[in-house]
Amino acid sequence: MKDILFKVQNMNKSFGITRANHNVSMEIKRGEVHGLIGENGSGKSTLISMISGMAERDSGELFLNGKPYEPVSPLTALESHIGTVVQELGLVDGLSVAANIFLGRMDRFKKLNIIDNAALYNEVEEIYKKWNLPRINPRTLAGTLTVEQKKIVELTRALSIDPDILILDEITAALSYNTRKILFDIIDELKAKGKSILIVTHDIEELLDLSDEITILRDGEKVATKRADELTESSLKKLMVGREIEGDYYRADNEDDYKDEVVLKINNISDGENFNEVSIDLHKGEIVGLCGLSDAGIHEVAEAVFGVRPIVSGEITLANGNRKIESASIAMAYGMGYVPKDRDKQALMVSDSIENNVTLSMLDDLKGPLGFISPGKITDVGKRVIKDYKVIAVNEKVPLASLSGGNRQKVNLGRWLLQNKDILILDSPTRGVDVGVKAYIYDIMKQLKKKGVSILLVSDELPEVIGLSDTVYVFKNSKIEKKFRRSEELTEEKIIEVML
Amino acid sequence: MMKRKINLEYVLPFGFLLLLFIIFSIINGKAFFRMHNIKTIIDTMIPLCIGGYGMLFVISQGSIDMSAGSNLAFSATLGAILASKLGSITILPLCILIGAAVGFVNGILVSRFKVSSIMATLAQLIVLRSLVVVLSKGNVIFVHPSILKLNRWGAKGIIFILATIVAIYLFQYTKLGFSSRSVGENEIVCNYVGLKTKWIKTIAYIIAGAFAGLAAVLSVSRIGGVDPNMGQAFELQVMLAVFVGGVPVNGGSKSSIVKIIIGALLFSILQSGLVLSNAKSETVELIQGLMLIIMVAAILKANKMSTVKTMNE
Repeated sequence: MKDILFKVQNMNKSFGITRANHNVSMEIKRGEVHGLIGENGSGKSTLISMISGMAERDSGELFLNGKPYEPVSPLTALESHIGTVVQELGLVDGLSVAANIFLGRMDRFKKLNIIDNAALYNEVEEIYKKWNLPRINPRTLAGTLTVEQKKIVELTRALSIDPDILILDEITAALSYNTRKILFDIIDELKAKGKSILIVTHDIEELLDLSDEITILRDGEKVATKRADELTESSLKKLMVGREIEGDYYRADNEDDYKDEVVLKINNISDGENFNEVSIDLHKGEIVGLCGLSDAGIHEVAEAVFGVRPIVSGEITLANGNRKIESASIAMAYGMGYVPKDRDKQALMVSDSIENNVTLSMLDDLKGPLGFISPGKITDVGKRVIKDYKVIAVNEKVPLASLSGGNRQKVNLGRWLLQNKDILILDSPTRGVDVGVKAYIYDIMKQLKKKGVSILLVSDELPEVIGLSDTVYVFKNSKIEKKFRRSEELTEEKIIEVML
Repeated sequence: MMKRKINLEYVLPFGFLLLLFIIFSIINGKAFFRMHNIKTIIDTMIPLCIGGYGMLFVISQGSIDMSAGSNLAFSATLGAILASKLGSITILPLCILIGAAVGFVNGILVSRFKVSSIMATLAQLIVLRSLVVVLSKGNVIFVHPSILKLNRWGAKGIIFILATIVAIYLFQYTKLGFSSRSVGENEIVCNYVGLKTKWIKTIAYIIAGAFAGLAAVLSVSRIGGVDPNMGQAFELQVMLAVFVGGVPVNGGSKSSIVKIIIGALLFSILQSGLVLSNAKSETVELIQGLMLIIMVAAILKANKMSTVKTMNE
């Protein structure tokens, strides 16, 4: 029996009437990976923010190495060698990467009361080297980084303290395949040193793979803690949701199946930076999947296709009206919708209401005579998205910030679905959502396909791409490396081989 | 999930309004309710409202227009000079057009050249004021007496009501207004749903300029001429009214025309009430400043509370 490194006892936390954590207890053993799973809103992030000193607990006790541990701020957590990567991005945009990593701990670089930047940057480079992390220039401003790079910076910060416990809240969803590999190596190394990892992820397969023990939360309460080898995907899902979930949420057929009619022609486009000479035909009723490593350019292609990223050569033509896409407003007017990768930064006005967020994507359709947009119509579309897409929310006036990630994503998708678009670009549509919502989104995608809607699916999750697409384009070095048709033989290994 | 709480930013301005009303009716008694005082209140309120309507388009997007006062003086001066040749009635459209043109320049600076809005309009504040002195040679320009007719209650009232209707319509019920508030919420998101944010920003400044021009006409008709110093600190008073009314400093969907009207009313009642009770002008300014601080702090606190609520995931 390995000894216990960290103990959580009877933690309670309420937000108003919501009990986010109710008598949660859990033990993390030395040298083990402890998985934490539950649906959106089950209290995982709350628990983690209490452990890492970002939120105060109402009651309960924490023990580190058998001694009481009282985190009053994220700094205490760091001083106690508890490193955390939070789910919401936790960087100061206006500060350099290095300053973010050592935020609040700059004193050690002080020489005569002035920060010795050279020493600071050096230290950061050392950490990159030590953990074999991809190098992100420590001088760059955090605000200019991509989501993945930001996550790596946060990971670097967590590792910079030589953590006894590394807490990872929903980090892999933001990482591409190759960075995940690096992370898994880090986890192995920490384990070998007798350190522990607390990991939260919605990816059940990955969680079972990584963890030694798994704690399942539901509605703020602990359901069980089990050894990972005693669990299967379906038994775990059942524990999470409290009921049986269909095992297979991907497509049942094994062949590509779509109409001959091309609805969107991407002809030899380049943006001079992220992608080069990309040509794709999207047919009616087809799901085209794009995958590749982090710098392969797939997300940028999606942006360009919707007209929000300028291209320097090539053209994108819509069959509908034979229109060239030169701007997002043209794309929208001719039946396209786009769900960008970073939901809270690119897609949704987080502090605004559900109805306003829905309205924003359909302003031109809601306009009456003299450009009049009636409040009744705004409320109406908000109500419809909540009802049609099963969004869990008090009403259509509440800010999106009060919804869980899965419900926000339903609003994000719902606002396009409401408009019966012919072509949808979905970039990482299931990022950071739980199994229930994931299954729901896949289900919608299958239904849309049946109705003849064409979907461009960009995703870092290979099972999702393989499980849903008719055609898969694998990107490497900013170019299409290989095109696969849907078939039984198409496996993750085959795609990875091309990607690397 | 979310508990509905009393929304400070909505309640507080009303609370202030009620409080001032009670205080001044006690201190000043009947004088406060005399027609003369009510007229003074409305007279102070109208230009603040009109300036505020235009400014709201800019502020709701998270930007600012520091040039409103100088723009007022500039469009008044140029408008008066041109109207003396083209006929005095043309001063109304002229001032609005000149104001809008200045706004267009502001808008281009901010949206195309990415100059931060406070810098661009601060520069304009100085440039326009010096142009006023050049144009007027530092002298007061008197306008044709017929322009004074615009200061009659009928004309002024109609202009004010029309301006209010137009502003409410544009800001609350059109794509332009909706987009303006959305840009304040999150500009990136607006780009991703195909809104032409550069254009939206430019139009906001054009509207702000046009309303400053309209305020200029009313100002001219009130004093009967153009003083090179007119409109000084006008933008500050307008901003005071806007923010005291509860419009968030960073803009966004909580901006509304009604808040401006309340803010302007608050400001005007305070001013007239203090004047009636023989307060010194320093006292007036002190109280206005304090009110602004309380209001902005309260809104910040209210917003902070709502972000804490979002953590319950």
